[in-house]
Amino acid sequence: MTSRTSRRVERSLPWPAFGLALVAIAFFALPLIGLLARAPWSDVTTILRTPAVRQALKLSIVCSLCATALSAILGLPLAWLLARRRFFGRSVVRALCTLSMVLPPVVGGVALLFALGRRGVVGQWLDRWFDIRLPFTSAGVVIAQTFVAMPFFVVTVEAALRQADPGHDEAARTLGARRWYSFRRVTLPAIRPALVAGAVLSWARAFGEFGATITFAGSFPGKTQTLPLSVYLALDTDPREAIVLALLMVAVSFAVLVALRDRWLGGGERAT
Amino acid sequence: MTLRAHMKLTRGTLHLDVWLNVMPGEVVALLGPNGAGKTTILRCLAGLLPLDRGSIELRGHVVDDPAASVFIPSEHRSCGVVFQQYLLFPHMSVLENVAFGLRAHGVDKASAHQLARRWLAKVGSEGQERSRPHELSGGQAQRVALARALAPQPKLLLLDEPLAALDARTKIGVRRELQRHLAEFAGCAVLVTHDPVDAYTLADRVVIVENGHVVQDGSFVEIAAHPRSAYVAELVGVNLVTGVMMGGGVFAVDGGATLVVTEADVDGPAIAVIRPQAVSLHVIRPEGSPRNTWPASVIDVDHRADVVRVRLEGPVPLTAEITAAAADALRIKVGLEVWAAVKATEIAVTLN
Repeated sequence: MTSRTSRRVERSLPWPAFGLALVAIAFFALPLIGLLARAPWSDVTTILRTPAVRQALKLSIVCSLCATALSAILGLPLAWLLARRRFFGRSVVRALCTLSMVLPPVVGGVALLFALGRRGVVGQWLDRWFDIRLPFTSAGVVIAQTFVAMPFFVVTVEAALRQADPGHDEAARTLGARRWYSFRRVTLPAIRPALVAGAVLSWARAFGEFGATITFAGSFPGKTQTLPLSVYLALDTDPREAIVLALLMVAVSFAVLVALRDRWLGGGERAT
Repeated sequence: MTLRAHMKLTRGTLHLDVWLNVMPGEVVALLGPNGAGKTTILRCLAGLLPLDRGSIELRGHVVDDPAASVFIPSEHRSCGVVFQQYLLFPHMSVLENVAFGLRAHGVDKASAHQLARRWLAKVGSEGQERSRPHELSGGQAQRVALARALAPQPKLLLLDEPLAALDARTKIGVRRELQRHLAEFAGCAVLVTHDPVDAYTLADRVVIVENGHVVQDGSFVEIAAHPRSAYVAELVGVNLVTGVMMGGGVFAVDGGATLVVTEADVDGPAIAVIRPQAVSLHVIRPEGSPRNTWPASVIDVDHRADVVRVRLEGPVPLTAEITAAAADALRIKVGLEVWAAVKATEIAVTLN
């Protein structure tokens, strides 16, 4: 009896904390309940089948996956550089490369416009020499999404690279493994959970990206109008469509989180 | 001469300046306290740390020479390393770990796995090919780490405290196996340890490193007999007597004599560790509490500040350290016949 009592005392939260935790749960659950309560359930399938919605969904998925791939391809070497190399100004470089995490996305979009726009510092040369115009194109959507999403990949992977024992890389080198072979066979597998977590986080950020996209790429249906943009625009014209689109995004994001939670995202000791 | 090295390097407070030559087939132990620079020496030899000055020559090839801007990185040096924490790759099976070096050298997967299997059998780890490193005990991991280092057939084998991570029981068996593998190894081997028993049992030659410098170099017996400093005397100046534990607390010294020891329930090949200060010398055979007495003749006398180290020949060859006053009273000199005595409680036995 005594042991049972003492165990309960140790494990239970003080009641004010318990109450606040319940408030926090409600805070996240209520908006979702609001959406579900107002959803036009009878028309859901019809709305989902309209070409505009399907276009937006397809564009969102393709662009966010491209942005994730780009974040990984550029972010992995960057994370490695930040984690394993000491160089002058490293902390400045790190701050610069993760700035867009805290920057308002609209500001990011404006900055991209002045850099890569048709009259931008780099954009005018892209236009003149290569005939490449990024703003207001699907490629521009990918650029805007990558700009805000890549830091999530870099931060996650850099932390894992810091924690990973560089001794394993050294052991590989003494066994005759060149740098690239050791990186591929030893370092990468050791940080695989972080690679997956970083990719998922940056994908989620890209999938939901709104501010930078609408500023840099505009909102052309089928070309740059992704799901979040459609939701926002539909609020004015057809709120029922906005709710369905919102629920669609919730469903996709929730499915990904739940599917990966146990294996990679804070669900066990393996996560980073 | 297979390995010739003059290593100069500054790392933090450590100023390393060490000469090291190792012959083919020779096993050299670097013995010294923590922070003396032993592991740094190993890292320089392995190509994980470039020298500031000096040079390293392996089999006639210069692998590091800052003056000539030569630095051959680890992956091209052909030196196997057994790391203190083994550093087995956690995401690979035991077999893949051992095959890794061969695969990195371009051997195809099937042949690499076949060779790896052979190495695992050689170190006594057959049946564990599919295990993951975290499923292995300390002793098993040590064997796998050795097999992994030996598989690509290195010219130089480096072992960093190979037995330090093992518990006392496992150590005995693993040390004996390691002794056998080192004896079979044709290249040069350098071993870092802070345990004189490891240095004595595994190495042909001992190099004492202190504060980044070599303070003494020679066979274990030579160094134990003539330690060049009080520090070295403290470190290796113990008597290690090989023999066999007979059970019942009797230690049979190689050569016929027996010693009574306190460890009663062990048997097998063993080493008795006796501090020189624990050996007392007498003109006539002492009676009473010391259980172990034997006649001995003085073959060397080494006068130090206020103690005298006396090397003895007889049924139990060892060195005694007595006070200068006692030496005067005994009129110690080479050729003198004395009685040596050691209490059973002063003898520590470690199975070999």
